Amino acid sequence: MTEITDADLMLKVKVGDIKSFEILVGKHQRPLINYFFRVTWDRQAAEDMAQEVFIRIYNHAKDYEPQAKFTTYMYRVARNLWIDKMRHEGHAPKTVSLDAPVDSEGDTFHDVVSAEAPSPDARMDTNERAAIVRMAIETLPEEQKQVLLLAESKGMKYQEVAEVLGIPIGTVKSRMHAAMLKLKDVLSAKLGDLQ
Amino acid sequence: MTHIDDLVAFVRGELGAAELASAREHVAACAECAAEVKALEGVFGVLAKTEIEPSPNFVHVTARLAAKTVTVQRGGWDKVAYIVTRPIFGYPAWAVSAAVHLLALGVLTFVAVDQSKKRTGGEDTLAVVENRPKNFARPDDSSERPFILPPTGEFALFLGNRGDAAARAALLKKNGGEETARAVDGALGWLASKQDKDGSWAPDGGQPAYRTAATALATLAFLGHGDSHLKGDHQQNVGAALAWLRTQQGTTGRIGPDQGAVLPQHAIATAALAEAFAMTGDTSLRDPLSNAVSYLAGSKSPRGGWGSAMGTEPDAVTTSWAMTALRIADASGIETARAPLGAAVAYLDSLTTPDGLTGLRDAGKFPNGSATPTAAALFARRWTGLESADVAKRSSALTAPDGTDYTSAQFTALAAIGTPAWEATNAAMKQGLLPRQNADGSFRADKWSGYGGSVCATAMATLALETYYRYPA
Repeated sequence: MTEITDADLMLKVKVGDIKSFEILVGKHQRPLINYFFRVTWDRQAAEDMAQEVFIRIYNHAKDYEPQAKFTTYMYRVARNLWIDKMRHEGHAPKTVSLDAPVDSEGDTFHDVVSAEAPSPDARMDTNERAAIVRMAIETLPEEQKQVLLLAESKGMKYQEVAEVLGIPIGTVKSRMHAAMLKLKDVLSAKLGDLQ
Repeated sequence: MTHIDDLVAFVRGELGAAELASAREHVAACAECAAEVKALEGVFGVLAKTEIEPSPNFVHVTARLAAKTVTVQRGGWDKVAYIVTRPIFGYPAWAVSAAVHLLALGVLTFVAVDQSKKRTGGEDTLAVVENRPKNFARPDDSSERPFILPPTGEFALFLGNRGDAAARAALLKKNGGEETARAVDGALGWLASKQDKDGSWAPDGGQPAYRTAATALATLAFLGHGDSHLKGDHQQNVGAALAWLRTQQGTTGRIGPDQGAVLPQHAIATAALAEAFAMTGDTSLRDPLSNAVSYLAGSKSPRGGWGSAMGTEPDAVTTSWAMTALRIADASGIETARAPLGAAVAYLDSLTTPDGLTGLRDAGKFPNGSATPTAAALFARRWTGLESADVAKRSSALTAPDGTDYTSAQFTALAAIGTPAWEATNAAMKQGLLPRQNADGSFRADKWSGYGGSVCATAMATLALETYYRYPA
């Protein structure tokens, strides 16, 4: 049996098939929400923005031409939305203060990440791990961060990341390489042995 | 030995066939590169572990919103079709237009009210609640007033009549509760004075993370007294509180924070929206309530109950709050509210032993005492089809409130009213709670004030003292 592709589904969405739209949303919701989660660090805001992307896609379905891969198209919309939002708010993509609270107990990044790295078999609290990952990602330069967030998404190859960001594939490769090495250093310092 | 230039690309599978084969060979032979590969894989693993799960109703809500907003890019007949079918107050525009014209001709009447009044039996258990009204009408020609749906079902009719002072006074007199009326007035006055400008209440003396709970409980205290955003002495307070609660609702339907006590706060806030909708029929509350109900339905645990957050172990008290919200929403016409109740009933019953005691998370286990889960479960089951003989039997397991736990007092009073345990419960409640009211109307701290502060304590004590007239006994 032939698998129904994203392009097939979009062609149905073009003629108003809401069921096909639901399938598309169901298939891509997780990586898209997590893409926005990594830039906002706010679950509600991430879901709101992901929802806006899907609604924009639905509203512009008539203009969709299956020339580009659907995920490329989707992340272009996502990236444009994020840039619009930043522009509208009149500032560059935010960097997170290390004194900002990161959990319901009011602990800050400093509180969480200044703790000693746990022994390899220590069970790390989910919130602590999330705070450390957040801190590690926020230390990356914006251009590396954007490559990382897209490349981390399921199924996004370097070529596709390059198309979404409009940069050469070699640049994607070098930025991703630098980002990963830095993440590896920061995370291993805080979380212990990553192997 | 020359190491691999880009192990990141190798780990991600970005290398071409020739490069890949060569890289594999090298990594197999080079301990340094093999360790680096494992470390990089570890980074991806850590990143994956911090991913969040989409809310359970994300797809449904997104599709619904998309369908509503599709007109932006449409023209011609599509646009005409949209204008005719676009939703107004939750109904297609053509239907609203027709209703307004019929109203002008004096044709449309409150048929649903007549139908519900004609209904016989007077019972309002889960099994007999009727379907939602198909008829609707504006109460008058004023376009400034909210669009009102008439309530249906005895339960909803009772809530719709809550603002009636004479009915409230009669119920107070019937239950010997006149002396509590002054306490409730004082507490509501204090709560009104503590409301922030944005409509919320800070859990002063408690934890800031419980602002949603403080606001929802204070709102319920006003609603319990019959004050809605459209009627009563505190309608501005209630209006501002409902507006604030709505600002806390995201597109997933959840009201309040996404960490900590997520579901208890969401359930109480949903109950507040549901009561306000049931009392007033204000259709501007329908969609927020419907979305909140969808979130509750989607966050139910596989065991049938609700816990502090999605994925956590459910408990009897959170489940009882969720069932309260769903039951009121169901009575007020939210079609999706009923489905989760069946499994929730089974869950509560699985925690309840033959002697009527309900465990918090497991039958026979009471980590914080048996009083609250037992009372909360009995209260929730009274609304979901438990036979009156069983209610009476289980009421003997209730613990008389002593004034140190207002949450327990609230559930116990609601579970006991109308049962053989009511007289003793009522007397104990008055004896335990009334002396704990301060001169300014607030109530002294109870065992939970470290979380919810004096606002939650006062609101919960008030809700207990409103038992006489809050719900049908």
